[in-house]
Amino acid sequence: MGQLKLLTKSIVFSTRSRRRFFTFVAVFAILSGATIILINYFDGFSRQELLDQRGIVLKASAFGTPSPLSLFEAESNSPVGIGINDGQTLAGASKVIFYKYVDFGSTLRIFSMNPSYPWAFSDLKPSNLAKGHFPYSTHQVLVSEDITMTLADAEGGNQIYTKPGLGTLFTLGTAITDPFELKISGIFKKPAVAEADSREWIFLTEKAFTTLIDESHLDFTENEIYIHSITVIAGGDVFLGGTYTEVDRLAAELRPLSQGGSANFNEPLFTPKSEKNELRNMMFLSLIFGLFGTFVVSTLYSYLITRFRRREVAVLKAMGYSKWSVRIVVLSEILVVAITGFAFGLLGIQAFLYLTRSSAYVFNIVFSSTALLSFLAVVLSSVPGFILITTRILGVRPIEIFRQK
Amino acid sequence: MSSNTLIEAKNLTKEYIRGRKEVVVAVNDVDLEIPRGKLIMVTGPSGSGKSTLLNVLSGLDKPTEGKIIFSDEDISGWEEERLSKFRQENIGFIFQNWELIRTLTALENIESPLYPLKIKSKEIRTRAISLLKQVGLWDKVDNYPDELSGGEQQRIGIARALVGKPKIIFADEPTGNLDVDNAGSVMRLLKSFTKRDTAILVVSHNEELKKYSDKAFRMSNGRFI
Repeated sequence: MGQLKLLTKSIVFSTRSRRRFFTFVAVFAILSGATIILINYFDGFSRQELLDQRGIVLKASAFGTPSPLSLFEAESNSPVGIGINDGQTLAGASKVIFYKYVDFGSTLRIFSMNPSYPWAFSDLKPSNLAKGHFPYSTHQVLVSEDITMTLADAEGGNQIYTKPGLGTLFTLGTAITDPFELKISGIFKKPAVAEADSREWIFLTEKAFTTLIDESHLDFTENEIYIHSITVIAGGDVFLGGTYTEVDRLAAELRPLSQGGSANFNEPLFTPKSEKNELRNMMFLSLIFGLFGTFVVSTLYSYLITRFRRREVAVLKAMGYSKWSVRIVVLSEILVVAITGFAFGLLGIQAFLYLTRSSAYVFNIVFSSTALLSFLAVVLSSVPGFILITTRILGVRPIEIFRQK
Repeated sequence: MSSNTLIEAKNLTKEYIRGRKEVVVAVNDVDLEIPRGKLIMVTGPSGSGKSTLLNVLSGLDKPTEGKIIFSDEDISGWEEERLSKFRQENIGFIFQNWELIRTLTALENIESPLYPLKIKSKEIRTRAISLLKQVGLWDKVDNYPDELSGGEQQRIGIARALVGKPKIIFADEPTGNLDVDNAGSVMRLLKSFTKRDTAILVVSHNEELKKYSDKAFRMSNGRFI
C-alpha cells in the first residue's frame, strides 16, 4: 500500500517542474515518433517478406455455375441486403460478364457491381482502389504463380489459356469456367496506378484485411485469411457511372488474346532479393539507431533527473526512504515523461496520417501492434539507463551530499 | 544507561581522510546520553565536530570507533537499509537549509516522510494539517517553499520532522539562516515538542540558543569541553 501510494504521489509531483517536464516530453515525443515510424516500416517490410516467402494457398473447393452470373446471383451473395427479391432479374444482367462467382463456402462473397447498390465496406470498393485511395495506396494484392485458368468470353465463347508468372499483374477479361488454385504471393508495393489501367484485385474480409495491413501477423496461418471476393476487372470507372460501356471496351480489347495473341502482362513487381536484403538491413540499422537514440536520451534524462534531485534524494534517504522507495520516486518521473512523450509522438503521427490521408480510411496507428511494439521498445531501451543512473545515485550516502553546500 | 535515556553514545570517535593522507578526528572519544523529552544542545565553532556527531548519532554516518546504543541495541554497525528503516521509525531531521522539496506544497512536504509507509492517506493528511496548525502556518497550506520566508520554511521543516512521531529529532543548525526573532521563535517551537516526550538534539554555533535547552555541551576539536 505504501509503495503504491508513493508511486501515485510521485507521478503527480513529477509534473510540477513544468519546464523540465515539457522539455523532455518534447524530446521523447520526437524520439518516440521516429521509433514508431521505423518500427512500422520494419514491421511492414518483414510482413511483406514473409508473405513473399511463404505464400498462402487458398483452394477453391466448390464452384458455382460456370456461366456468367446474373446480377441477381451476384447480389444475392452480397454481404449486405440490397433488397432484391427471389427470382427477380435486373436490367442489364446479361451484360454482367466480368465477374466470377467462386464459392468458398461462407467466407466468400461477391461484391456489388451495380453502382446503385452499397458496398459492404466502403473503403474497399474498387472505385476507391482505382484512384489509389487504398489505405496503403501503394500496395496491391496479387494473384499469381502458376495459375492455370480457362478463360471464357461469355459472349463469344472464345477460350483463353494463360499461365501468369510469379508476381505479375494480370488482367482477367472474362468469366472463369474451370476450377483453379489461387495463390496469394504477397502484398506488393506498386506505384500509383492510372485510372484507365486495368488490374485485378482480391478483396479480403475486413478482418483478414486488417490482419494483413494493420497488424503484425508474423505467426498468422492461412486459415485466418479468406478471399472475400474477386472482381475480375477493376479500373477506371468500371464500377461507377459508365460501368457497362467500360466493360464492353475492355472486353473488346481482350478479345484479340483469344485469337492467338499473348497476354500483355505487366512487369513483375518483385523487388530483387539483393535490393530487398539491402533495404532490410538499412531499416534494421535505422531501428537500432532509433532505439539507441531513445536509450541515450532516457539515460541522459535519468542522469539529469538524479542530478537535479540529488539533494532531494539525500533528504529522502535521511528521512528513512529505502533505496526502493527512492527508486520509485525517480522512476515515476521518468515513466511519466516517457509515456507522455510517447503519447504525444503517437498522436502526432496519427494527426499526420489524418492530415495527409488520401481516402476516408486512416490507418489507426494508436491501437496498432506497431504502437505497442514501439512502446515496448521505448520502455525497454529506457530501462538500462535508468538502472545505471539510479544505482549510481542510490549508492551516494546522504551525508556526502549534505556536505556539498 | 538510565531508564530515561533514549540514545547513548559511548567512546564515539569519527575519523575521516582529508585530501590524500591527512586523518582528521572530527569526533574524539565522546560520551553522550540523550534522555526522552529533553532538548539537548551542542554548540561550538565551525569545524568543532558537532555536525559530525549529529550525523553519526542519527545513523547518517558510521563511527570509526565506539557504540551508539538505542533501545539497548548498538546501531553503529547496522547496514544502510536497516538504518534507513531505523531513521524512518525513530528519527526526525531538521536541516540548516530546510531542504524542503521545491515541487511540493507546504502540506505535501510535511506529509512526504509518510508516503512510503502503510498509513492511510486520510491519516497522513490529518497529521500534517494538525502540525501545520501547530507551527502556525495553516494559511500557507498550498504554498510552495519558494513562496515562504526562511522562518516559515524552517517551521515546515520542523513539522515534517515531527509528522512521523519520532522518538528523537536531530536539528543541524536549525536557526543558522534565520534572524534573531525567527531563531527564537523556532527554538521555542522545538522546545514545546519536548512535552510530548520527544528528545531533541540541536547543534548550533550560536551560544545564545543555550537558554532554550535542558542541557548544553560545548564542543571543540571533536571533544566536549
